[in-house]
Amino acid sequence: MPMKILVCISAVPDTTSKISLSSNNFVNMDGLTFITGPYEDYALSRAIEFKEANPESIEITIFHVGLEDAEPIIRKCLALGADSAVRVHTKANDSLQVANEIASYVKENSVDLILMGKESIDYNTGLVHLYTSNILGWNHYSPVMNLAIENDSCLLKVESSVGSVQLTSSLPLVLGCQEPIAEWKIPSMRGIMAARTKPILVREASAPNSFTYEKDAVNEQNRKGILFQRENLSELIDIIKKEVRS
Amino acid sequence: MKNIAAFIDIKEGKPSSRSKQILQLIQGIQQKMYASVAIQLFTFDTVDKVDLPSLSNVKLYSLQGASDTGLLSKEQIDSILTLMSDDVSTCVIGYKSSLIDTILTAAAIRFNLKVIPQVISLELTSDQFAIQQSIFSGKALSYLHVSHLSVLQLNPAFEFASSIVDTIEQHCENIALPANTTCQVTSINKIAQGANLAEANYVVGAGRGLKDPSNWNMIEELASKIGAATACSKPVSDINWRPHSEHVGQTGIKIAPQLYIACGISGAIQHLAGINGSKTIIVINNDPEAPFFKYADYGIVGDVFDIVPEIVKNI
Ligand SMILES: Cc1cc2nc3c(=O)[nH]c(=O)nc-3n(C[C@H](O)[C@H](O)[C@H](O)COP(=O)(O)OP(=O)(O)OC[C@H]3O[C@@H](n4cnc5c(N)ncnc54)[C@H](O)[C@@H]3O)c2cc1C
Ligand SMILES: Nc1ncnc2c1ncn2[C@@H]1O[C@H](COP(=O)(O)O)[C@@H](O)[C@H]1O
Repeated sequence: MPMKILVCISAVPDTTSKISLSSNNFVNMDGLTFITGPYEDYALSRAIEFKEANPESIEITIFHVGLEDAEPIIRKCLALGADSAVRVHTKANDSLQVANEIASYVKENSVDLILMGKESIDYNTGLVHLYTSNILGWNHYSPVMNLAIENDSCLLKVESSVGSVQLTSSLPLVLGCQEPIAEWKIPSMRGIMAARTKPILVREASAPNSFTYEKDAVNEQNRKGILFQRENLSELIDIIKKEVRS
Repeated sequence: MKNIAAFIDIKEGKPSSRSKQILQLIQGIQQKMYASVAIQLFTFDTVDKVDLPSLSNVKLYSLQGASDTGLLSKEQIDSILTLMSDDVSTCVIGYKSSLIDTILTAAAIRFNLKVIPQVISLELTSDQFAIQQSIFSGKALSYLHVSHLSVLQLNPAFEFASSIVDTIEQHCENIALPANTTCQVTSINKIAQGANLAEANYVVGAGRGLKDPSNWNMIEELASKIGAATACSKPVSDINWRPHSEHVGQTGIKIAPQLYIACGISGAIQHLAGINGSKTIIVINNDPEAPFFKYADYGIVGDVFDIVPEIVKNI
């Protein structure tokens, strides 16, 4: 039996996106370029490294909760080397909802390792992997900076509040990943061709939304923008002194 | 609401500046609406007594047994949740961090509450919290109302405006957590003594403009002079000039210090996404066109190798 890795990806506006509001007072998503969350790119890259080293013994499934506009992003993950994908057809609204969808899939299908990003870059909550581990009762680590698999265990380097901790923990596991776990990868022409025929299974949504948002606002940063010349460096030094004293 | 459980840091016998925001919030809740609410404060720091703002009906617990690794197993989290009252009429509060988040989510599942992520400010209304949530790495805000019975995950820049008037000395009860048996720890590489980056009040960041890792001496000197933590841009950690734990930005650590001094960093949008919670930003760069100047409170166009040593000398 190959080892089954589920890589959960979010579809988020490109990191250079300028955020503006649409007429309904929510962040305007039209015209933005969507990408796989950068942390999930790291997670997927690591999974692909495992598969490249051992093609027969690793099976990678991409898991995404979201509407069909994310399919190009999912295809790109398949082009990078994932075997198949599952998309839960609903608008992802919050971390608990996404975690419930992941957990309900995992309960029906055999999965050994769930890789996610440390956090998504739209809501930055870092909660999906934690909720998922709580719902499934699996052990959890995040942020994971190194990952190796040995038999039924993972060797991890985890960044904690005290420093980086090397540890061994047995499968199944839910991990939130961040660099330098792997280098981002670029799909090859062959990968892109192969991805065209790989399956994307669409599942019905089962989990409810948690929140009702009222409106969004752009967070205007009103910085002072005061520029000093070299000869006035002492004034800047006074400002630093004052800042550190207060 | 009958109980509030909150997670605070205690440094040198005093709550950290962030933890003060939590205590002010709790004071506000007690004064405005739930005078009789029972307060449980948890800390991972070892203390026996602390000066706390005067709250009524308060208990302080020091959780022992996680400080060597900074990780918590499910059994350890369960034992923390068991200390919290079984009463589901609870509000749980803590700043977002990998450690605290594990407890917040477990509490939410156990008490059937929702984690309200990235709370950057809130107002008290008689039956709800009016929440402002930071989204898109601080580029935007989202507004919502949630029940008082919620788990609040606070953004590093969270503030609750009020001034603590009087403080009282609070004794602390030590709680020994069970051993963590779910993993075998093989080694721990502790972060250098000094301020923890994510929580630091002052941060000095440096980028590719420093040209060589050996040039970080002056950055470290400046940081140590003002009691700051050190940070770096992503390319700097990618090429191993600095450890990954110093990388701030969209794909790194998000910081919200009182003061951020950026040296030889261009100010790419992905870098700004990690530092836009900073109160005051000072930028040192030799290129007057560097985008960072547009996001600075104070800037100086000049050579870091001239400016930084000059600051170190005169501060
Ligand atoms: C998906 C994605 C995610 C990313 N995430 C992050 C992130 O989390 N954090 C991050 O930082 N970046 C991130 N980046 C990279 C980001 O786009 C920039 O490339 C990076 O921030 C630039 O780093 P830098 O400012 O150190 O280097 P540079 O852009 O090379 O800038 C160096 C600066 O130093 C100045 N300089 C040179 N010499 C001197 C001197 N002698 N004195 C004074 N100034 C000098 C130059 O004028 C220049 O402005 C990300 C990119 C992508 C695509
Ligand atoms: N809509 C989604 N579908 C699948 N996985 C997701 C989705 N949103 C977030 N995730 C995963 O959960 C991680 C944490 O997300 P968050 O809790 O939103 O910060 C991300 O890095 C992804 O790996």
